[in-house]
Amino acid sequence: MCNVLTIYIDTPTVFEPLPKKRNGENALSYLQKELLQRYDPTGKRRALVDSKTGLRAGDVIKVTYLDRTDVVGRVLGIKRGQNNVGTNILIRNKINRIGSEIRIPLFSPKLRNIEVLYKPEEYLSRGKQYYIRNTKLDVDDVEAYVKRQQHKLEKANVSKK
Amino acid sequence: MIYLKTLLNVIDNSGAQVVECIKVLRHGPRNFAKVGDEITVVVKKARPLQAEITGQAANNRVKRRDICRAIVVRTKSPFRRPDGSVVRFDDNACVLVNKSGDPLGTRISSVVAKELRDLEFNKIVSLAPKTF
Repeated sequence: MCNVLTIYIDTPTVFEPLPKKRNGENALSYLQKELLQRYDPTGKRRALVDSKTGLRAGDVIKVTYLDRTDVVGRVLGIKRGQNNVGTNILIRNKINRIGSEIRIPLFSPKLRNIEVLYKPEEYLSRGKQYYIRNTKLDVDDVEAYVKRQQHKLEKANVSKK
Repeated sequence: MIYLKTLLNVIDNSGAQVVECIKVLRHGPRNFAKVGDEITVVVKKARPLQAEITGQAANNRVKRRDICRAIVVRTKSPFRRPDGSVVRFDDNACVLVNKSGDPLGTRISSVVAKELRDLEFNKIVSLAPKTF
């Protein structure tokens, strides 16, 4: 009887290690990938906020909602979410000489489209341009500004030809 | 965040230019007014009376030191929409109304927040040149 017991203790049952979940990937980054895939299946919005090729503070964008209303403004900053889908874009415009700002969640299912209206040739040096508020660098009526710039471009093209 | 002593711009043609909040209506004692809330105000600065103005606007003109009701239409403090976006304007502004909620002025000169439409201030929204 005593002999049997000792044998039992000496050879404990060892199991195979379980296969790693998600191929060993961190749960948080895996979840972020999943969520991004769900809210942005085409990858279009992710490309918009890519830190190298995407939008930059100073660009003028037009955001259209599903109910066909739209907001135009100059990008003041892009907040990129880490391990979440909270990425958002802060845009500023002057409407009837009143500065109005809106921070739009990028992966919101209410958005139809984000269109780049104008990219300046020279940017200010900062990624977040909160400091331009109420200074001489401040945005003007953005829609009028875009029209003026496009007019200038057309003129330049005509004179080149 | 509009509370006691806050100065607001008036964006209608009732004659007032700057008003001071003296009471936030229908809120707790330590709460503040947001877009769409009703407040009681004192006129601190008014446009000088001109004789040539006639019609409805003339009857409803307010003078300095008048006490009236107002609806907050823009706030400098950021506020959140149900879809997660956050909106902020450069100033605090209001529109003067009478006790039954109709605007005193006949014109509104600049943008108002979109929330007013959902709160059924339809007159203010239709007078405003733009909503944001």
